[in-house]
Amino acid sequence: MALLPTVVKSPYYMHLVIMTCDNIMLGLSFSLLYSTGLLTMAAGAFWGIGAYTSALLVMKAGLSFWIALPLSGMCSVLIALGTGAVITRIPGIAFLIQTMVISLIIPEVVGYSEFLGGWGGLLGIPGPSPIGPLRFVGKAPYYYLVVVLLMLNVLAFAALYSSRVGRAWRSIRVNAQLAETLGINLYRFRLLAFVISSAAAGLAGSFYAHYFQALEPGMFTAFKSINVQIFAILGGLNYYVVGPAVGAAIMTFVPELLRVGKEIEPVITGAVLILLVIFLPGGVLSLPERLGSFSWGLMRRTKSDGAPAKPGLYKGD
Amino acid sequence: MSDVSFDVSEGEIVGLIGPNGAGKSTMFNLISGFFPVNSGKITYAGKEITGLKAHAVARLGIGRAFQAPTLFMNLSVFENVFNGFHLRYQKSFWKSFFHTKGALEEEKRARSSVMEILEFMGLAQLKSVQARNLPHGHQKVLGVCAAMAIKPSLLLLDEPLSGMHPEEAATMGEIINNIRASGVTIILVEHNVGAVMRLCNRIVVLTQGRKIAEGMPREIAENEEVIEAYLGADDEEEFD
Amino acid sequence: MVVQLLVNGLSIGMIYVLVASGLILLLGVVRIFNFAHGEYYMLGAFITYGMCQLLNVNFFLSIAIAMVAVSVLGIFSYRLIFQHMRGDILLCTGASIGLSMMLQRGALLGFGTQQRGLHPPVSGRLAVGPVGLPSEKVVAIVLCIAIMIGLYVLLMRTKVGKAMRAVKVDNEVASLQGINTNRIYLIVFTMGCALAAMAGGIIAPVFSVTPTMGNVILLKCLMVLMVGGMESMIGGVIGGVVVGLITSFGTFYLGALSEVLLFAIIGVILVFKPGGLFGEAH
Repeated sequence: MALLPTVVKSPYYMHLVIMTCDNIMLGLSFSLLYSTGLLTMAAGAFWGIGAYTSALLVMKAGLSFWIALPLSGMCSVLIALGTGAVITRIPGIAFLIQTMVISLIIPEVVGYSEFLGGWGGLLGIPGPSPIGPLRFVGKAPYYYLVVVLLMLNVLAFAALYSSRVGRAWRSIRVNAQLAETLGINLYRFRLLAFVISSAAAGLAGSFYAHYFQALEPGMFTAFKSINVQIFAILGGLNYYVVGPAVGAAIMTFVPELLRVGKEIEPVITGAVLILLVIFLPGGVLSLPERLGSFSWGLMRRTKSDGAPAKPGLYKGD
Repeated sequence: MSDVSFDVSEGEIVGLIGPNGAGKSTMFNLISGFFPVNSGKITYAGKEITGLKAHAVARLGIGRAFQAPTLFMNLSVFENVFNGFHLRYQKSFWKSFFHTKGALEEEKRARSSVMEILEFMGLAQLKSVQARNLPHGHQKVLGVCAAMAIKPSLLLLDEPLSGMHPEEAATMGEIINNIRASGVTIILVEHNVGAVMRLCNRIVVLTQGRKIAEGMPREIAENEEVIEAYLGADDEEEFD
Repeated sequence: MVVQLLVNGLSIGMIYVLVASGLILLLGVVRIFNFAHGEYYMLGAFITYGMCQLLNVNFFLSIAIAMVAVSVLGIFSYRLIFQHMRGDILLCTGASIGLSMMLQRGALLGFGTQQRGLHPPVSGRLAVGPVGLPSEKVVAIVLCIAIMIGLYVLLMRTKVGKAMRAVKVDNEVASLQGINTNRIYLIVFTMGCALAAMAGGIIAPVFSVTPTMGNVILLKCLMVLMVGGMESMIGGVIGGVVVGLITSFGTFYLGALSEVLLFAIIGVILVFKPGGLFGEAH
């Protein structure tokens, strides 16, 4: 994996790989919340918050990217705490709707605020300042950076999933009432998941800001959050780590490779999503199991825990 | 509920009986924090717990098993009980996150404790079976196991015998006795009045949200009001 | 001026009430959430526009036709898609997002992006005291109120309505009592679509008709739900009026910041009543 840039010379494909990695991080953040039973539409919003915070810190406050990165993560955490404290009180559809509203409002707020760049957005965001011998010119350094970030993300999440916290989250998801009886404070754990998930999304956004070097509110509308959700569903919701990875990869590469008209793309994505949800709710990664048991029933209702479970670290238990 | 007061002493098994709709499960929901309390007080081991939320109540050492099997259905028997060890971990979260030696050892100890509980309850053989594949009786026992995982000093058992055939019920009765022998206080809600008579030190009778009697099993069996309440409301109860 | 804003606010507010009622019925009775609800509204507006403006059909008849057409679409959507995923938020969200994307983009491609305006059926200004009110807005308000009253009567007095409420409270018990729950689900879903379409048609002369109008209305409806509670019709009415009034006054005095104001107000409400004013806090 480290040698990828030497093999792939085309900047176009490198760009796709880098985008995939960024998208994987977003998918991971969605899955984290899902592991606790909460569906969020706010992933895109926090991505945008992270991106803008980082860009503004570098452009207006003159900080180095390396400082802006953790700071923007912290900013996401604070905003997530503020909103999360209110909205994580009632899980389920109410939570989903509220995150949806957040994802619709945030781009508006940014767009109408001149200080934040308005609808035109921020242009000419500088790349990360050189670190050691590494200068950020061309795709390769960015690739390494995003891979490092992704690895840190995966490691952190894996550690969380296999710790008491992860177990508590999964308990809440499978049977919240029982979890409560076992002493698990539902509100605190849900809020924790929301904050961590938002921070991760924010960091992904921060990277993107300095990679793409231009931002505008149109980039993180509800559409972005919907895409993130699609990554997770497509890959397989029961696989908290591998699922979003597969889903993000497919969603980033396939539309580009198929070169469909930009016009008709949402129609196709929409149709695919509907078919996916009806016929393969467990996502792509559940195909092997599905084929194995040969049950293609249209009526096969799977509950939110998706395909039949096997004990596993990264899988919905 | 109105005008219900009773005390439970350490080490007792208190039975809560009454015809359908008497408010027995409601009482449990109030104690374990699932329903808000409008008036009255609940104290536990000298501390007032009225209005505490369910997880806080669990933290104080009050465990609960539900009438309908409330389990992590897609997990194994072992995992079900293991998840209940959440409260027992001493090491901080950060140590758990970084998977330090101390945290890992704690987990290992927890795992062996889980096996102890499973053996105590007779489910050790089935430890890898998925909860949803267990027969009903075993599911109820598993529910009690999970409640025991938090090391409660008071256990609220909501109709542990319902839906069981005689052998399963006998096993459950034994389990209940063993639990009490290990020092846990138990409040038992049950429809099976015979079992209640056998297992409990004292019985409290509720009907329509009120307490109508309290005393030793024999007294209750002869209490006219109680007989009245049962015959009047619910013809199916056997009364031996 | 205040009266103008009041009428404005009430007219959009009542529209929000209509559309939100559809969603509330869906959530409470059928237990699904339909992201594409706004698209039914949009289609209702377009069909009404098409009938009335292009084919010169009477305005009210156009609305009726739009309702029927969208209801048919609704029946198809329910049978093909939503029926299989009642109760499962994730699948519903996924599928309805997909549906919304398809309908919206389809409308964009089919109808183009230009805004269309429908000439009001009753034009001119109504003189109420010293103030002149735009009559199409008054018509909108009156129509909406009439429909809500009709809905109330349906739910409270008719057998079907009572069946719906029974299913909402407990669908297992309801089916044990002999209520055909599957039929109720279909009926309620279709009603929800019809309400949305109706709202679209009513609003067509007031605001412009565009393929993306579903987005705006969905956002506003979500806010209505947050304010009023997800499953309460009363909440929907009050929430709708509140949101409508805040939008109207807010846009006049604060311009675009009114959205933020609305959001902040909702936030405050949620702090004290997490389930909305009439919702349940678990």
